Amino acid sequence: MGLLKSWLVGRFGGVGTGQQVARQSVGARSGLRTRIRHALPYYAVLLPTLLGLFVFDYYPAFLAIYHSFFEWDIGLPATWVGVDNFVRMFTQDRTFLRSLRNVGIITVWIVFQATVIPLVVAELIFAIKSIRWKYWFRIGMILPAIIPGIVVFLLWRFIYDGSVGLLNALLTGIGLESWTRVWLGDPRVAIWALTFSGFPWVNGVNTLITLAGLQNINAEILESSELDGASRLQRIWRLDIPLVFGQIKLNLVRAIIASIQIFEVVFVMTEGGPIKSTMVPGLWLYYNAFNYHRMGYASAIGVFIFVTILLLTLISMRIFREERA
Amino acid sequence: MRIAQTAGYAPDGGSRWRRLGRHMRRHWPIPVILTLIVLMMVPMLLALFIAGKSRAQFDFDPWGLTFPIYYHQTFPAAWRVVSQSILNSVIVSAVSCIGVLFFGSLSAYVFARFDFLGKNTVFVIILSLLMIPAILTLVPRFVVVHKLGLFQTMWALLLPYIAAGQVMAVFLMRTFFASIPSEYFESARIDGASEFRCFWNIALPLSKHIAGVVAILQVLGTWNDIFWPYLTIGTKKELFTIPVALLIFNDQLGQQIGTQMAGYIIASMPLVLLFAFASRLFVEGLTAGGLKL
Repeated sequence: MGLLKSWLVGRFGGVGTGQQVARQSVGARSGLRTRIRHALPYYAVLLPTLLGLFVFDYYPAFLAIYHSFFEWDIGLPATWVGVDNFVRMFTQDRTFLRSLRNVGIITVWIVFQATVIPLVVAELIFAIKSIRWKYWFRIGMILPAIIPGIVVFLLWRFIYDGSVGLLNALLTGIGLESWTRVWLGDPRVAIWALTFSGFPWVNGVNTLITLAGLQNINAEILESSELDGASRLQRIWRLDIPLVFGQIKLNLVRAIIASIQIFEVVFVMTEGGPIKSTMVPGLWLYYNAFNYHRMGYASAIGVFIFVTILLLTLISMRIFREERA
Repeated sequence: MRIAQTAGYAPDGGSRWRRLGRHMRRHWPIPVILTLIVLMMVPMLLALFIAGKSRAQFDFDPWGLTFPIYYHQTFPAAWRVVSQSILNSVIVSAVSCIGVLFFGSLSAYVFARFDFLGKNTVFVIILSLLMIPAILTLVPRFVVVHKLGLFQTMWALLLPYIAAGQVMAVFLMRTFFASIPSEYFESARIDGASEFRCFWNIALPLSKHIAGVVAILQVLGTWNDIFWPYLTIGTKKELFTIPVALLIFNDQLGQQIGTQMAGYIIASMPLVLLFAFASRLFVEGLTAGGLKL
């Protein structure tokens, strides 16, 4: 907790630092009872927020961690099993191990898609001189966000279809008939088809976040690099990337958090199949909880996902902070 | 005449080509980005094509444009299936959005403007929720909702959505409220305004943009959520939200592909409308905010 707290305070500038805070504050030297009495009205205003978060977020989070040490199903008494759930995950559950490999593949690709591609696209938009085009392209970047995720997933399921799918039709059209297959029905290719769905893989929100960073770079710095004869690639490598690193890191961390717990796209496109070849930990959690009624085991998978996200986030923050310095 | 024309054309044409070349070197990113945006919209265009096809047309040519176009049959048929769920989704998104904005901004205001015992600790505890993945709490939250007797009611969606959405709202809006010069509030206080009026009549109107970003994030999140409504609404058809209806609809209407696609398009329409009004706000919120880690 201490680590997290110092991290959050360090990152987000703490509370009230550098900003004006109302004057009626009670000095730190007044008695504890006065300070509690003084604080009560503020907590009354915060109550709806805190109550909601407690009931629907903190308490469930606590329950998840607690139940990960039990064998348990809704409505039945829970039996304490210690760390058995975690041991079973890595020693007896082949599907879970398979899901780790799959989520690894997906995470590597999503991280690339969330950091490198937005940088390239943002640089392209940044290079455009016309303000009007720039404006419309920024709108165009988020336009695909209005298509509900489920619609995109279902359409891609359809594009990959073995008999009427667009991908097979295109391959046949350019004479590569031997490459056609039931993309989501072949256990060896299904995970790759799933991972690379969503062509052309441009994440509009991430692009706009990166573009905002580029636009905040002092124009004089860019001009002087041009005067010194730096090529565009040199400028991007030496100036732009270090200066938008905060944005790239935000995209990176968001991508890690989203991809480790990914499961909706898998559920809609393959339901984890064929023969569980596209299973991911998030979906395996869901199946264990609601299809196999192993809530304790499902909670343990959830705790594993949580710890993985936490570690990867902290590691990537640490690594990239040093690289930047 | 002809000779004159050709003679006049040649040098002019040469410089025109050169000018075009220069133009291309300067402006080549424009066609590249245009192509990208078109490619990003391909799934939607395909849906539009296929929505106009009868079963026979689809079997004959699934991916091209075919005539006649049967929109007048597919759209009404799809509407009958998804209309109720669109209404549900609008209610869920709108109510949870208002709830998040109201409670979130009130809390953000308290955190930004006052100092009291335990403030920093409580704030950090709220922000720490940003690190907890939704999947960890999925199962136990379902248990909590079940125990509270909210299973298969609209509250099972509204209350957790409002609770979870506030974390981001408090985080974004606190920073904004703290940046409002305190003179605004001081002069209002001198004129006898209550603290709630300061919040309602000064802070809130000033925070239009950031509130817009919070609202759009909330609407996008709730509108697109698949699993939570799928779990908590279960089999109660009259409470289906859009994604649940589409998922079930997809399995039921596998054969009527045109109707299915028409359903996808209808499902996207409310967001298209929202973005027609709010896209500028959202883009500006994203690009001006200086978001980074």
